Amino acid sequence: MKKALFFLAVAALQGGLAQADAYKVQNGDPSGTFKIDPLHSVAQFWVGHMGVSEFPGRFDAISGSFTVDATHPASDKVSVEVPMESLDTNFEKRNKDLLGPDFFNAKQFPKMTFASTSVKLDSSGQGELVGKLTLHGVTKEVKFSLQRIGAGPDPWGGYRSGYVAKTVIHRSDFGMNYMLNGIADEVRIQLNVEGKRQ
Amino acid sequence: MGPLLLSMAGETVLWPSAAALSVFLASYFLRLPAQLASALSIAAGFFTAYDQIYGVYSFPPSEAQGWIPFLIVLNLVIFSIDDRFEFSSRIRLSIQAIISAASVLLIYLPVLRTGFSMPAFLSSIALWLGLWIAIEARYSPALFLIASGNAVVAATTGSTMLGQMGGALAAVLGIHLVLNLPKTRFSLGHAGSAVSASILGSLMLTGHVYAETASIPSLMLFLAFFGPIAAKKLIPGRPVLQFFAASLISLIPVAIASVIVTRSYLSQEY
Repeated sequence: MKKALFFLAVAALQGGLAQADAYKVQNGDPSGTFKIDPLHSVAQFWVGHMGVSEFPGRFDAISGSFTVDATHPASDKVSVEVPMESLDTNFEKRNKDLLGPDFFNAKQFPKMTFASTSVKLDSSGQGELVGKLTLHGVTKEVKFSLQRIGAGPDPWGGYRSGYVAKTVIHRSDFGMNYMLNGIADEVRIQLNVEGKRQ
Repeated sequence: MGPLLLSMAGETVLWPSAAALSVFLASYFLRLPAQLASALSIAAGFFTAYDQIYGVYSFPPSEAQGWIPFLIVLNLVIFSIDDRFEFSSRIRLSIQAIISAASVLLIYLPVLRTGFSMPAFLSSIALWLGLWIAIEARYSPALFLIASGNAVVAATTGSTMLGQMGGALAAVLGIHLVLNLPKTRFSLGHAGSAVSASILGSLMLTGHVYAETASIPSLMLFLAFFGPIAAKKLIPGRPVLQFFAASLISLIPVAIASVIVTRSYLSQEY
């Protein structure tokens, strides 16, 4: 009987802990200036390959900041910088090919940057982000769909906020014209960004 | 062969060869001097490939390989005048040195602040000028073999695009070689040599600086220029045998370089 009660107590404790640990989105105040945390941020892309698949790639080292002012949304801004050498497509030879003169030409154009010109977010955290994307030495206006994921305190005394931005670009618009018959012109881009309030 | 490979073969070999052949034949019917015909056919063949493979003509070019068309035109104009009026060798060498240095500078220009090294810069100028003088000395199968080897080295260790353009140069030089048979001693002329040197020099240097093309196999290709010299010493006074011996001797370093890079490439399966 004692043994049965003991197991019952352990099960109840586990259930309680599981309930306490359940993941939930924090809906805190998103205002402030946030520095992008590269360990929890990534720029990913998908591009059509040979007309049969879409292969992904990602840039692991993102830096920059974003400012959100709920009272003056016009002053919201985003600035992102991505070193091309942080490219990872899960195959070293392909990384080298993509970073060479056939595509990104990273020796000459070592960084990709984005600077916002307009940020619009509704009360539900959905909106659009417009700005200048500089890639391969070419600067073009690009419009991202934007979604706020959440905002709130972290366990280390800081305050964080995160967003997902998505867009589709044509690589030929940025002067990357090589092998358009084998590797698609359209490239889907997704930026997952987490920032720490400064 | 899939449609993509067929398309690449067309861009690299078929269309450049067809363009070079057409210009060569047109020059013959227009009774243009043979040296000008050579230069024009090489330039036309390469332009066809450049247009289909890269196709960027902005000025100033945004990337190093974008300078190639402008270097071709510059060399074609200056050294066609040389073919017509025969500069003194001192003036020719001075112009070659200036153009070699300027070409190397243009290719290094975008990375001057980030990846510049004076020894590499100076040795690039020396290699470019050396390549040019070797081509100019006497056209031989060595140049065709070096261009072919460069295409293999660039495509497997650096950039497929630069490899394709190198392949186009080899194809065009191959057409020129076949059209000149059975002559065993012929010259590309000053203009043809200048155009070939500017294309090959640009592709090799761009590959080295921007695509990290394997350096040792690239340098091994230059050994092919010793083929004609060795053949001349080994078989004096027999031009036909010399031609074939030079081809065989030149083939050795090119084949070794190609095997090294191909084995390395095949060990990393796509």
